[in-house]
Amino acid sequence: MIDLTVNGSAVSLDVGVDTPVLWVLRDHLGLMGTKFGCGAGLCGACTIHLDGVATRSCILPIAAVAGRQLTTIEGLSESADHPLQRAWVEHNVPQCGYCQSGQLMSAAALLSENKQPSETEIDQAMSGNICRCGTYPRIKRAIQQVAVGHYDPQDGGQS
Amino acid sequence: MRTTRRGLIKSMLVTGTGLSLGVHLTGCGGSSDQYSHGKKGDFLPNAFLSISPSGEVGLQIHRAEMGQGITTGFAQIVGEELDFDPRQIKIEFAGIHPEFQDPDVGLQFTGGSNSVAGNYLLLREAGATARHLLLQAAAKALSADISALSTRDGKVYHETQSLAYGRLVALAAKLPLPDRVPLKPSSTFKYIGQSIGRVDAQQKVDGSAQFGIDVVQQNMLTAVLLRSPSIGGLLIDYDAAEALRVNGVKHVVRVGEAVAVVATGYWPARKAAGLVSANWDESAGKGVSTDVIFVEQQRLLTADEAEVVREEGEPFIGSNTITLTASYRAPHLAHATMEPMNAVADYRDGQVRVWAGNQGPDIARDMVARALELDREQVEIFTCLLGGGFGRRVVPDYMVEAALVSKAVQNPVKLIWSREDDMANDYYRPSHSSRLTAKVSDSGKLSWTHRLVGPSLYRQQLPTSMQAVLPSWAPEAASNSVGAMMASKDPTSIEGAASLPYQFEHIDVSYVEHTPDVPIGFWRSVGHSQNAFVVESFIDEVANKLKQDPLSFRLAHLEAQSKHAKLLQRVQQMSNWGRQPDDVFQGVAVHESFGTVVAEVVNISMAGEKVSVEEVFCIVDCGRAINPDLVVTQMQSAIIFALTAAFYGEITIKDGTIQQSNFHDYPMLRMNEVPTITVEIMPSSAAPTGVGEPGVPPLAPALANALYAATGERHRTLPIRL
Repeated sequence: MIDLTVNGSAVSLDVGVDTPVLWVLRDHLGLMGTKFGCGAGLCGACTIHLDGVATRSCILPIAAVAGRQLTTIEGLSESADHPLQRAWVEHNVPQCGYCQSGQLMSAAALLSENKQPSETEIDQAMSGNICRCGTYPRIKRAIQQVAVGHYDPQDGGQS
Repeated sequence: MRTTRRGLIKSMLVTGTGLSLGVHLTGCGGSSDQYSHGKKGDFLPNAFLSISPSGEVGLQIHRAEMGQGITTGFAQIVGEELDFDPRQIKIEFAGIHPEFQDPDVGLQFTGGSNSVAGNYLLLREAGATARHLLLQAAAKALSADISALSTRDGKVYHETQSLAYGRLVALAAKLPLPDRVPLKPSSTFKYIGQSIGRVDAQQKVDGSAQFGIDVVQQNMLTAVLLRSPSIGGLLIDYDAAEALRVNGVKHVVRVGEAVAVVATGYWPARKAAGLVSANWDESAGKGVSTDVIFVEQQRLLTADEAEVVREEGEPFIGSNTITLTASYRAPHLAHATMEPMNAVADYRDGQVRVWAGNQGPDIARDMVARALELDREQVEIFTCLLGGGFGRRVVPDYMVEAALVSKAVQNPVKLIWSREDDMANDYYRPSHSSRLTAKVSDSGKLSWTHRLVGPSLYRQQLPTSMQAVLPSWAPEAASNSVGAMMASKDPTSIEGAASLPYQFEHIDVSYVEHTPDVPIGFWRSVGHSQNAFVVESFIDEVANKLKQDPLSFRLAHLEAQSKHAKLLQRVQQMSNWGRQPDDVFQGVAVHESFGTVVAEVVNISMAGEKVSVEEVFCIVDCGRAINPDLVVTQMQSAIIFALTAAFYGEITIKDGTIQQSNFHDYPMLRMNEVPTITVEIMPSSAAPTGVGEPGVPPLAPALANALYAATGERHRTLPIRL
């Protein structure tokens, strides 16, 4: 049994130790917001937070996260209203939408450690996430809008 | 069956029973049977709409939502005529229904940037009919003259009284359909033309949007397929002993020329698939190589036999004629949708249900039925949100596979392709070669000769589509012969080249079909994706040879009042054409596809040898923009998609084996590589035309032209290697 915390809840799992976290989330916990894109850590669709740090879950064995805190898109905010989620909607960011969970998780991790990133810092933090629909300009604008505001990840999503 | 708009509305019965509402965007569309089995009391004025007694308005989305925003656009169009806020409309993805077919294609197919263009009037009429019946019902209920009534936000108003739509549905459902329904004058539009936010945005930011890969059925298992490493390979035998020892693996079975590994989840299935040892007969792929294909294309560029696809004016001989000849080529490309191909299938007792993102549910139904030897009526297709389409999900091979596996193991299964499966088993944008010659006489007369060599998409793709159009008893030979008939002048091969907009004294465009054994398909903007590169680059070559400004040269040869000319003039202003700092270089291109004309200017900067794409200016004439901001998103999207292809896109084949496998060797543009993109929409009150694809074609030539301006080097091969 592997014990860990997912979106604030304690979870005990009986799965193969080499199972990537992505498939534990999707196939065992029914958390479908985290997406499969490449299986090789190349596209970022599967990005989650591991103890607050943006991490590719498709190449992360479950055994490596025993006892640690995972956050998925479902746990990013209480009511799906994280400032970034609201900015995403306001800027009409998603197109097909498939990569957006991963994009949001990368952006949220960036802003939690760097409240006012420069454009270059945004590019660096986000360049691991592919969007085939080309929503990058709007993702950047949404991040910049939240960064310019009084973003505080500790206050439950109020800006 | 060809249905007139009148006929469509007429043929929809007001049944007085309805479909159950409350299925939100995240669900998958079900069958048309729901129309006759819905909740009693709902009002169904036509195939698209339902209004419940509590006032909920439901809209059947009969085209695939793959990011292009049609759910929002359709809701706006219907909401406009119904006088109902599109953001309050409940969206449901439609099942298969004859009334949802594209009247030109005969299929319920999403492609050709046609969803809004082809359904604008239809959806307006659907909304207007419903509103008209509700007004009539209100007139009866209030004993008022219909001319004294008005509608707003889901209510009928009369003097100081108002009645919500829901309260009128029982009465409205009993009224005969009107012969003719007036549509609103565009001057009164409230929702059409407004940049309302995407109706599916919230679900796509909180992880709840349901794509095909997210569908779960009871007792479902997960399948992966082990396929031949090369195109057309045959399975000789396999050994699954080790694979079967993996915890969670339930079945390893042969399905056609593949081995299906079926397990309790993706990981055990994938892990076990790696332990299956299989032997393949790969002789079919021998000699199918990119190098061989291009050598043959090269040979055919000067072959005597070719189909003339356009010939105008007479070739001329003059003294001091300047002659310019160049050859171009474009590679195979993968679609690389972010969501790899997948489908859920549940086969039981001679019936099968299949859930998947797809661009042609009736093609899928027909192919699944044929593969499983069932009647079409025994196959039900549920269309989900698509994690990208770009033309890939027109071909339902993955849905057929899922259905076959489910039947083989007699269990509901979700088939998931790996990224590597997806890259190696695509229906690729065809590779193409072109050779052009321009002759300019001393009096300025211009002769344009263009020979294209490439495969016929129709030869490969039309037979399966035709099978779905024809009755199920029609023999496959019938549809094959249609495909072959269409192949010699395949419009998808010559589009964008035959329609050269420039007025030259002599135009000669010819095509040679060369279709190697490589699976090919529709790729965002199809033939335009390579032909605009060829045509708009060579125009630049001619202008430069004549020492003329490339933009002015184009204008000089375009009809002054044409959309092309007007867009070029506007993009000239937008981009400050010709007035740039010394280290900034510009390239321009203009191209029409799917009824929409787009002009783009690319600004690049040179810091020493290093090239950087700084800015792209884009202007689009797409008729009336239903949702201007969504038009802008499609142009941004297309520009980034095309820039990815221009710099990185190349699938190469060696003896039938695709050489690329994942995003490390088939890279995508990333955020740090994206230029500033400025988009304008030409104001227009003309009928809307498509926006999903037309932003793609002008980008590559505008980029190549900018590179020429910067370096003097002409890039005639895609992708552009710097």
